[in-house]
Amino acid sequence: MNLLDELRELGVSVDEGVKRLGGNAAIYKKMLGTFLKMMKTYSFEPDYDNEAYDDITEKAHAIKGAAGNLSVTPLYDAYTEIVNLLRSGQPAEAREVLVNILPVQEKILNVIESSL
Amino acid sequence: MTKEYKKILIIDDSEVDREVLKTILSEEFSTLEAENGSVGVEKILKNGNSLDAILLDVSMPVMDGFGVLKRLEENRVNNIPVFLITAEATRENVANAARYHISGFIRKPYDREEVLWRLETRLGMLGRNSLSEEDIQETEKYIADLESIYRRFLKNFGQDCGHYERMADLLEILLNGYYNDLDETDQVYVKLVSKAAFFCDIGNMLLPNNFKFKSSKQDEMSNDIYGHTGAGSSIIHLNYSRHCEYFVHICGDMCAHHHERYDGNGFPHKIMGNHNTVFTQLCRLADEFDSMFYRYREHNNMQFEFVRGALVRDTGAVRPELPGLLVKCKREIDRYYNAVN
Repeated sequence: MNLLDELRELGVSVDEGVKRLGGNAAIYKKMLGTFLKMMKTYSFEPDYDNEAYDDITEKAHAIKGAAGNLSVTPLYDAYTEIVNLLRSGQPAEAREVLVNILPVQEKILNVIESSL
Repeated sequence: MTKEYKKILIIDDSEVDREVLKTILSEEFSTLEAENGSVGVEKILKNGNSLDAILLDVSMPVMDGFGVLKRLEENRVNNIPVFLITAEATRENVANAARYHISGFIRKPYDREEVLWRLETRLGMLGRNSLSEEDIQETEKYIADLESIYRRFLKNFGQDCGHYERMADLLEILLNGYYNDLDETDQVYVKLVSKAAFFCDIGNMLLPNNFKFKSSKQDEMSNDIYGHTGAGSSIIHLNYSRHCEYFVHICGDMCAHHHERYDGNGFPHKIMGNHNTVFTQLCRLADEFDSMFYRYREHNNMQFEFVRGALVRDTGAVRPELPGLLVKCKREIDRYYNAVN
C-alpha cells in the first residue's frame, strides 16, 4: 500500500488535504514530512508535570492548526478538543484525550516516516 | 509582457501553515514569510511600499498578531490591507481587531477558494482562480434576479436606471483599461465586476420614502440608519450562496464604500487609501464621470476635458492613478457615449 492509501486507512482525509494544495499530491507528501519534523519537537509530559498549561495549550494549538491544514483529521479533532478543554480549565480531561490519541498519532507519524 | 504578481507577506510561526498558504497563493501571488511577529514587523518596515497585503496569524510566540498591529500603528503603516488568520473568531479577537483597520479574517484550516476570493476582491483582482463555471452561472442568475427587482423599484419611484446602466458599462471600459493582460476568457470576470456598479445605490430600497435618493450630502449628515450605503450592502449580502461569494463581496463593498474618498474624508466609515478596493474606487469614478458628462447635449472633447479636469482637481477622491484611465480609455468612452445619445 502506498503512503496516501495507508493514511486514508488511518482516517486522514487525504483527498481534502491534496485538494487544498491545488491537487498536488507531491507537495502534500512533502508537507507531511514537514509536519513530522514539527511533531518530533513537541513533548507534553514535562509540561503536564510542571502544570505549564499555557505551554501545553500553545503547542496543542499549533498542532491543531497544522493537522487541520493537512487534513490529518484524527489529530485535528483530538487537538481541537484538547485546546478547548484546556481553555475551559479542564487539564485532566485534556490529558485523557491526549493519552487516547497518542497511539493513533504514533501510527500516522510512523507511516509518514517510513515513506520518507 | 512579464506578469506582475501581487506580493503578500505571510506571518505565522507554523512552518506547515506557511507552506500550505504559500502553495495556495503560488499561482497568482509572490510571497514573503516571517516566522514571528517581530520578524514580520521588520519585513514590513523594510518592504512596506512593495507589499500588497499581509496575512497575519493571531497566535504566535515572541509577538502575536495584535502586537504586530500595534507596532504598525505606532509606525503609521496604515495603507496595506491586513487579514488576520485565526482558527477561532472569538469575541476577544473580533473586539481586538475592531481597534485596527482589518480587511478581514481568514480561517484555519484554510479553504483554498475562500482565501483566493478574499484576496482577489480586496486587491482588485479578477476571479480567475476562485470562480468555477458553476459559480459564474449561479452568479449570473443571481444578478439577473436582483436586477429585475431593482429595476422595478427604480421605475416605481420614477428613477431612471440609465445612470446605473452607464456606470456599469463605463466601469467595464475602465477595467479593460486598468488591466494590461486581459484575454477573451477574462471578459466574463470583467462583466461580473462591472455589473456590481449597477447596484451601488440599491440601499435606497430600504430607506423611508422621504430619504430615498437624497443627495449624498443628505446621506452624510443623516443617521446611519438612513444611509443607503450600509443598507445596500445588507441587501446584497442576503445571498449566502458559496457560488456567489466573489460577486457578493465586490458588490456589497461597492454599495458600502462608493462614497468613501482616498484621503479618508468620505463616508460612512472614512476609509482611506488602498483600504478601499480599486473596484469600488473605479465605481466612484464612473459614478461621478457619468453624473457630470451625460447631462451635456453633446459629448465632445471639450466637455470630456472639462469633466476630466474637474475630477482630476478633486485630489484625494480616488487613487491618484485612476483619473488617468479616463484619458487611456477616451476612445472607447467617446464611442460609448456617442452610441447612447
